[in-house]
Amino acid sequence: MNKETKRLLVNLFVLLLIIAAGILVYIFFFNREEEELTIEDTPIQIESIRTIAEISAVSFRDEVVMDTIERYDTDLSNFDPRKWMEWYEHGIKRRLTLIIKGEVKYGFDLTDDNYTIASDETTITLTLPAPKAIDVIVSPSDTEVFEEKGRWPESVRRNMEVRAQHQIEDAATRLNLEEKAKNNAERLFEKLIQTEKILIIEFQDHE
Amino acid sequence: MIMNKVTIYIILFVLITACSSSEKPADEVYKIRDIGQLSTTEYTVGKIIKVDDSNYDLTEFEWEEWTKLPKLPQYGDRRILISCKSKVKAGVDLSKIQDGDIKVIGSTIEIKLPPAEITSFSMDPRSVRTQMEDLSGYTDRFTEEEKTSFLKQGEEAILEDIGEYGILEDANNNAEAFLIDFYKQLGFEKVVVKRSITD
Repeated sequence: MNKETKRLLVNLFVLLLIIAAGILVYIFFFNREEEELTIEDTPIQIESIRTIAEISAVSFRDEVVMDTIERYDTDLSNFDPRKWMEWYEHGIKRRLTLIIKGEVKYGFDLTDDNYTIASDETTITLTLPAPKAIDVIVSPSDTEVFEEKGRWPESVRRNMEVRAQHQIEDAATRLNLEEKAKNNAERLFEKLIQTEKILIIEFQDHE
Repeated sequence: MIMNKVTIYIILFVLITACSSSEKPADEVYKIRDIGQLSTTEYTVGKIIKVDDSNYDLTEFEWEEWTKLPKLPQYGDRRILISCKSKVKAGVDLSKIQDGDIKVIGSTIEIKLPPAEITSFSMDPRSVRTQMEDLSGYTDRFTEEEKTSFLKQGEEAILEDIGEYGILEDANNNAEAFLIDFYKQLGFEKVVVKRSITD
């Protein structure tokens, strides 16, 4: 073993020692499992109370991924050593990726007696309004921040969540859940209206 | 020899720095379910979410406690106030009504309702606003992940507190009123609505 090789091995050994020491320092000082911050106990304010009569007949749950990226203006095809950090980060300057789960409930809004019942000696006719999306539900408990790089203004996140809400609603519309809601409502009212007469359930058209 | 050294250092550098992993977000999934909920009450609820992350006082720092600290002490405070609005609906699940729960005797109908429950909770993203964020010293800003966690806790707190305002009682009363009106329109002279005990 010549002198140069010995020196190289010693250098490598020292380098490995430094790395090991760095890892130990990281584990001891920085790699702590942080406790989740808890919110303070503040009262809720009831802003309004409304009496409603909504029958939800179908529930549709969906999950969408919303991704927002801001890139560096660097041409990554030519490696420029001065911009190694941009190259290392694949040109991504900021990124926010959310996984949002939502639910759309289809049903009938019967608030303010928005239905009619007509009966004669042999028949009962129940006319319900056209089915519609009663609820489009997105809540924080069903939202996950998958990736967060850099700082984003609150409006960006808000827009992503609103777009996710629209996407989930559009997906529900494409599945023609109105027909399914009608079928389920028929089953439900047949169970509620126990009669020997002939029961006819009709639905109004969309306005 | 110099080239060899350079090559080894480059290899080491690449090995150390190139280790990054990224998971692929979950693919889109959807699920359609038949339900039969009658929502009869809707509460609009506002809440101020308050977080004060300045509970560590460096002047009281003791070395013996160093290893027990939940996180690294930072010089400075972080406080945030987030306002949000939620819509909470409550009602009864009509699909839980069993065959024996509806009895018709002449012009009288007797129906046993399942217990009232929260049927939906939604927090409109447009209603969420950071009203105040105060940072001092060497503290970091609150991340979106932290804010999501605060909102989740806020959601839990709303659902926990709203029961005290009588939402389920309102839901029961309104469901009873709706069914009495509904059956009277069907021609029944007497409608008896029996309630189940709320879970």
